[in-house]
Amino acid sequence: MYYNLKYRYDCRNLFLYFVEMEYCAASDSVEILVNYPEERDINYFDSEAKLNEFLLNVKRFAFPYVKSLKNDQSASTSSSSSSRNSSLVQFYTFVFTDSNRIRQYGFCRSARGGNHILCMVSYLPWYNVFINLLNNISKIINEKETSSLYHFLEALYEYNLPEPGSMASILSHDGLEVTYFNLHFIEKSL
Amino acid sequence: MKRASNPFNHSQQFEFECPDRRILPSIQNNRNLMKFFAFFDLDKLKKIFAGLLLEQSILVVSKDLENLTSCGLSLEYFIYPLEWLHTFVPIVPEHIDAHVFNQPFPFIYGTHTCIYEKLNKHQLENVIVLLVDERRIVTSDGGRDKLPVNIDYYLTKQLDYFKQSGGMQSNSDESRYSMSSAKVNTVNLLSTGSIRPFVDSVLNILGNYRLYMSFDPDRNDYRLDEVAFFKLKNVYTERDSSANSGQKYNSNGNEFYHEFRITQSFEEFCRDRGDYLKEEKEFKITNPGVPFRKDYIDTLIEQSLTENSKFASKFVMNPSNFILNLKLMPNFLY
Repeated sequence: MYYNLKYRYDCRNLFLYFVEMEYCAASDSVEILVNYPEERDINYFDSEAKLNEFLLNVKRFAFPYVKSLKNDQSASTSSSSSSRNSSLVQFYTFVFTDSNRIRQYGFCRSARGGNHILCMVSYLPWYNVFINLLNNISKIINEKETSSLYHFLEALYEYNLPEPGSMASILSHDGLEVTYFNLHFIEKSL
Repeated sequence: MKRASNPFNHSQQFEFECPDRRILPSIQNNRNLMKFFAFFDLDKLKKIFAGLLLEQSILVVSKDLENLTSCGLSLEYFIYPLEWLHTFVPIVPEHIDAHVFNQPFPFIYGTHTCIYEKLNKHQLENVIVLLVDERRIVTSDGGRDKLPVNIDYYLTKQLDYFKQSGGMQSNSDESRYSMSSAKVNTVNLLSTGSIRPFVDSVLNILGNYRLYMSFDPDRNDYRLDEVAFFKLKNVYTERDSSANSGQKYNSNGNEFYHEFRITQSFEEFCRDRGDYLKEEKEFKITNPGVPFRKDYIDTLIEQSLTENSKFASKFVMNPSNFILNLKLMPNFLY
């Protein structure tokens, strides 16, 4: 399927991979806290090696300047590196291009001074949709059991996208204690 | 951060409207574009626009990853419905070797200021560098104006008006949904106001592709007829022996269209239109009398042409008054 995608818009999955990551300064390494799908999806990664390479790249691109900024900090105690210490939530997007010239967008939501990142990789360039989605996921992580997160991710992953311009509505059930989200968001994208 | 849960709901819901590539983004709904228009003034926007159309390399530099993203992802909207077909890496991380900035092929890169500061600036000679945090642009050619005069004039006119009207803050929800209606220009000015003039400029530069895509019966396909394209654009080629009069009235248009002709995005546009015209031709043979269903690019271009048609004939009849004519027709593209 993956190799037959002539245009990125033929893709019917909302996303191809989700990772929650944390940067540990002491060991200078990136730890993966949650990844979805847990099993390798052969539609996207035909070998374990490809998936590992993909994850390595995701880690590097999601924390693009960790080393440079740390060196900056040790060299001078000026405010130049203040952006990393702030408590702001930031959104940014990296892009991979595969050999078929199809782009994969990695939408990142960074928190806790840039040390905690939620990242969703997708063929779809829908910036606003993914920003809202990542905020939703962050809420679920803060407020709920891990199982709720997996239920939600599963519902998203298996959802078949409707035609451009129509509403997509994704519902996930997770048993007992649930928070209600009804996020209506419109993005006009090229 | 914690919020009391509602025991009556046993589900989580997430809703959004699937974006449609055929509809222009509205500035209010596109965080990236909104930021982009706040970073750069009209002169800089025009330079970036010309660079994108002629496939010059662009490097976006900022200390803020969010700004890198906003700029990187916004750039492509400017050349819609064309596409940037070259390297596109809005965040180049530290582990990537600096030689990538030296590559001979066009690229759009974004990187942190600390990486940029370590780069040898000589290797960026043909690159347009957008220093976002300083709202500054660095170009090697001194920022020479590259756009054809009519396009430059049109953009200046349209975007000056837009700034004066302060339309960026106002919006009408209805406007996002109407694209094909006749009211499109007035309504869209509010929601897609600042990006629309760029799109109209691209459509005007492309012009009526049916006039320069000619059918080759031997190969059974449509191909670009370069002579017809340059003729349509009033551009002089080496074939014109008496080019002396041409240089006077539209010299930067000459340069622009010759450069534009060899860009990959234009090649790809012609290839795509060739396929489309062939499909249309075959459909008409097998389904006589049945109207062929136009695709959105054809619709966009047709719309742009009807808006221009009453002016278009004047250029052909009276090329020496080209610039003069433009000044008399402020709404040339509408």
